Amino acid sequence: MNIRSRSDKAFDTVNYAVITLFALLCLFPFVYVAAYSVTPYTDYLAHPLRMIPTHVEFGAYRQIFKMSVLWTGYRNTIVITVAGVALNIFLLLITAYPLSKPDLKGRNVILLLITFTMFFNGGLIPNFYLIRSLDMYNTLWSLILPGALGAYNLILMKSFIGSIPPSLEESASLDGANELTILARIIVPLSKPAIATFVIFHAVTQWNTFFNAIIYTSKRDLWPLMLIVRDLVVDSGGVARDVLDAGNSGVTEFTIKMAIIIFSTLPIILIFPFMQKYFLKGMLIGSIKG
Amino acid sequence: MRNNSVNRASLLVSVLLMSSALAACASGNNNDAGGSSDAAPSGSTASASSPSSTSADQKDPVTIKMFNRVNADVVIDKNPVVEEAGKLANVKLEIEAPPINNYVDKLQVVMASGDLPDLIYNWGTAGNGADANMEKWAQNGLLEPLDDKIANYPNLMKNITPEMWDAVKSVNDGKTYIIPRTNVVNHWGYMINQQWLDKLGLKAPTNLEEFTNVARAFAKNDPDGNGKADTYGLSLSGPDLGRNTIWNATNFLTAAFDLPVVDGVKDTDGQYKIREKMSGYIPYLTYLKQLNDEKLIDPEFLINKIYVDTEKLNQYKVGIVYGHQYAVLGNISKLPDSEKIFSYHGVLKDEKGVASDWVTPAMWGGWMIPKGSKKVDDVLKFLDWGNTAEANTLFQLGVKGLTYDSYDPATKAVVRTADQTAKLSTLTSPYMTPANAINGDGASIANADTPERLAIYKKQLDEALAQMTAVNVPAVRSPKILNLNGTIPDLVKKKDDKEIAYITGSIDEQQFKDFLEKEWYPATADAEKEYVDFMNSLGK
Amino acid sequence: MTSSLRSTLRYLNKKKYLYLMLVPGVAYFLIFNYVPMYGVIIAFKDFNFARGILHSPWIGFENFRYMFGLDDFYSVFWNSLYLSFLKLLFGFPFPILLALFLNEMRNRTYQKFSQTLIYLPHFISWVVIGGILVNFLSPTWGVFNLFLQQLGIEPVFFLADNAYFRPLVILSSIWKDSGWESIIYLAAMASINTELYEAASIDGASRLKRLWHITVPGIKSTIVVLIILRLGHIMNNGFEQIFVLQNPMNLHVSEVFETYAYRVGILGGRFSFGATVGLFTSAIGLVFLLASNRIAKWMKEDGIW
Repeated sequence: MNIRSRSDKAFDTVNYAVITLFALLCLFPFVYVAAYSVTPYTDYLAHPLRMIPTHVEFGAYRQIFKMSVLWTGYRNTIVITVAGVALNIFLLLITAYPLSKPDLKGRNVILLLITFTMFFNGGLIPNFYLIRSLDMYNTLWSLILPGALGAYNLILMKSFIGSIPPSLEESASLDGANELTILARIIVPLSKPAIATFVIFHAVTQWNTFFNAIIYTSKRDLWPLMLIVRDLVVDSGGVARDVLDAGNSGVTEFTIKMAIIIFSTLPIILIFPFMQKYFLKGMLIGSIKG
Repeated sequence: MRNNSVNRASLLVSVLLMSSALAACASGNNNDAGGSSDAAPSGSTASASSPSSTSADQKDPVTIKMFNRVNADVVIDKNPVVEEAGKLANVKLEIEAPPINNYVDKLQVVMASGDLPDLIYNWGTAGNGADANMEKWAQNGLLEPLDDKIANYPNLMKNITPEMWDAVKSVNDGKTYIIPRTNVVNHWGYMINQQWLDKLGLKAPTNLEEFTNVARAFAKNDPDGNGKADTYGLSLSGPDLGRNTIWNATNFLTAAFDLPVVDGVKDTDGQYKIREKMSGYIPYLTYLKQLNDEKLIDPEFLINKIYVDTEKLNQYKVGIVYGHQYAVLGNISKLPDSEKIFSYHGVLKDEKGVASDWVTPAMWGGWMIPKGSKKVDDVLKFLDWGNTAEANTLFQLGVKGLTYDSYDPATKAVVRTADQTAKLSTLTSPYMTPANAINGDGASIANADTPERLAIYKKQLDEALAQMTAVNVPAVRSPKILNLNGTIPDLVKKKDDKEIAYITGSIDEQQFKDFLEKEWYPATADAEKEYVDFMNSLGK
Repeated sequence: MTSSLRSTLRYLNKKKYLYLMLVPGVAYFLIFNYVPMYGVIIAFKDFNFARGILHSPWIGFENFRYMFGLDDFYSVFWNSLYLSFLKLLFGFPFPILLALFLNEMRNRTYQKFSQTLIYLPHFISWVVIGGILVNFLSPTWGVFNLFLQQLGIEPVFFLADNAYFRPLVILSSIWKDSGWESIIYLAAMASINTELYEAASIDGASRLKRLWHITVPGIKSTIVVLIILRLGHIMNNGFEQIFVLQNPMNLHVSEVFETYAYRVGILGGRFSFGATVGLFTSAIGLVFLLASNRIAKWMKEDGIW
């Protein structure tokens, strides 16, 4: 007893130390970007790593709040994220569940067809034709539907559902419930950790949408946030840099870029803690029994 | 990026010739924009528009769908600048503008989609718009040849020089498929930390010897006074395939070796040849090697991404970077008070005391019209208006009262409030202009919003121009030399590599020369011959 | 004949809800993936903008011949493969370890807090993170070299030195994405039946033992599926990361298919050549995926189907 708890304790110490160290390393870039979004540029020049401003300055934020295009971008991004995630989870569940049945006839053919799409696609132009002929060009649907179901996540979801013990299902099917009921009553509650995972994965994917928007929309008021952010932050250069006229406000380009990064990533980072409770070990089996 | 520029004297001559020649042609043309362009707008765009409105009443405005590369800050919908332009040119402008960083991706899709806009901007890799993409689209029959039509448009003929028209002609069939967007003439030189110079009691260098001394002082004599040897004399930036950083706008240094960074200039012996055979080639590389060995140049000078050199300048790590006459004021956006810290100077003199300012046709991409378009004439008429001072002023300065209070075209002095400045960036930018310069000059100078700043700009430009000798570089239309990246990409990469290896000392001069003799010269002989023949044919 | 038809119908009727559920998903893949898939044929054509994909002239394997004929092709091939292999070897186990460690933390608040922190780098794009990294490692003004100097070490020009490039890519991607990748393992662990742990606890198994005998087997099928999927992407190295760390002085080791296709393919809008490179790397990925799936089956694992 004594020996075991000592080894447990040693394990704990190592564990906490490793995780803490890694977490601090990971925190670094975010703190760096956040700190320099409110630090006067001269402070940054004098001490590029201190990250503690002599005084806090929100000029860069005031500057970007004035950009109307960022606000419409926010609205579009929220719409395509919420709708995209809802559709994605629905399609994942109803498609992955039948495919998780090893004895379902035709399953392997369908899985092969789906896997195939991970490797081969028609490229830009046929996709553009498709969106246009479906009348989705210049609508937010063109940013929600393509990509609403992907082979990679589908295979993972299928493997998750497949690992649910069949005994849990069997009792329900003996009661005469059909597969739709089983999916809703048993599979979905048991798959909460997996669902939470794909909510986060797809939400982040949708939040970062930018390339589809370039190809499938032609109006700037349909641009999602990240497209605008990329154009402002990752600018490859040109005379118009001089137009984002920081000179007059006394805020430099560098500081504005830092502020834009924080402004555009903060909401998506905040969704993680809400999903976190679904990752707690063992909560789910208990809830089924109760 | 490129130093596209035009000698003013020759421009003036050609303008005079053109306008007199065209006076006759234009008489039958019901287009008075040509007349009004000579007199720069008084600042009130409303009054300038009144003469053209008489003819406008007779015709409903035509809708022109314009596909352009515009920065994300600009709001396109219900934009008063666009509406004003529509009023002045009597058109209904519908602009589609993908983000600038992915412009080419969307353009490729649009070109392949079979549903083309009326007016399409192409941002050529060589700066002139007549790039491999344009050639391909023209060859595939997507573009309208414009040779027969452009002569009817006086402003196009006047603002776009014969050299520019030449430069954009297709290398395959010699036809014109693209109308150049004129750009301001850039006089490349260098930007230097003037405060460091003053502190060390030095003057801005004008030749190689002075330059080496200044670089050494910046690196060794602690110009920032922090007690640490952590500064460098100079830095370079912007590597690309087939072009190490040492060729990117480094006119200020290469001029000292009579080694042009652009094609189309003779070597010191009066012969045309590829750059790698020129007399200044090895000496220039050797000089860079010496700077690197002595640690006078930023150790990252071969790999700095574009603008990183300026960032190092702004953070007082290096003292000299390349720059043109607009660089110092432009830098204010990155570092307030730049004009008090840095100064601009022209290129260095060679051994004979000549400082060569190589100027090429100043273009920034161009405009294409789809084949068989019913609106060719309407679109050309719009572009013709776009090449007037009225249009240039509108797109660069915005609408009076909304984005500025007053403007004096003679001095380019602009008065605007902070509010108006903020509004300006959401309404227009140089990306919006159909022509970014009229007679080689823009309506305004970025950040020159006080008399002091304007004076600094003018003084430094005048001094640089007085020191330099302008050399007109014709447009090189020799497809093989322009397309080495496409035909021998691996060898081009290898040559980049060998240059770096020689500069950093991993191969010696003999090994480098062996590579040139055995691999580079034979592989480029064909292209060189075509190039030399083309250049010699220009002289006749 | 009729009896086999009848038995098929009976089977379909019995499973009608399952097949019905498959309809939207299958329709989705048909419309959004298979309808546009005719586009791959441009790899065998000389794409003409005016004639479009269907009517452009066929040129057979000309694009492939050109690609295989390029001098650099084989070094690029090697760079792509080798970098992926190293990433798999060192990068793949890391998220698993991280998930195991996180899962074993007893202090829930601290666990949640540190979890949130380790996902942070994932949210900042490579362009930004890479930019910061390049800056930090710079011999001119990099903080890391300033630090080395204070220890009396000469500044190192990391990004110009071929020896450092691959380790840098692997370490930075572990740091940026392993926290994010650990989510999926945490979800798998959350699905393990707690009764197993309770029983083991009563039997007196130590925590390391429980971890090894209950947690690891519980996530094994997830690990296998992820390895197979990862092998399918063996030719993808992550364009943005490589591109931002690449420079003319490390090009010998840093040029991979994605950056190469960008350089050679985008120059002049060569759709056909781009499609050729894409098809080639996809075919290799598919071979890797099918082979690894077969091996998994052979080892009595589930595989991906």
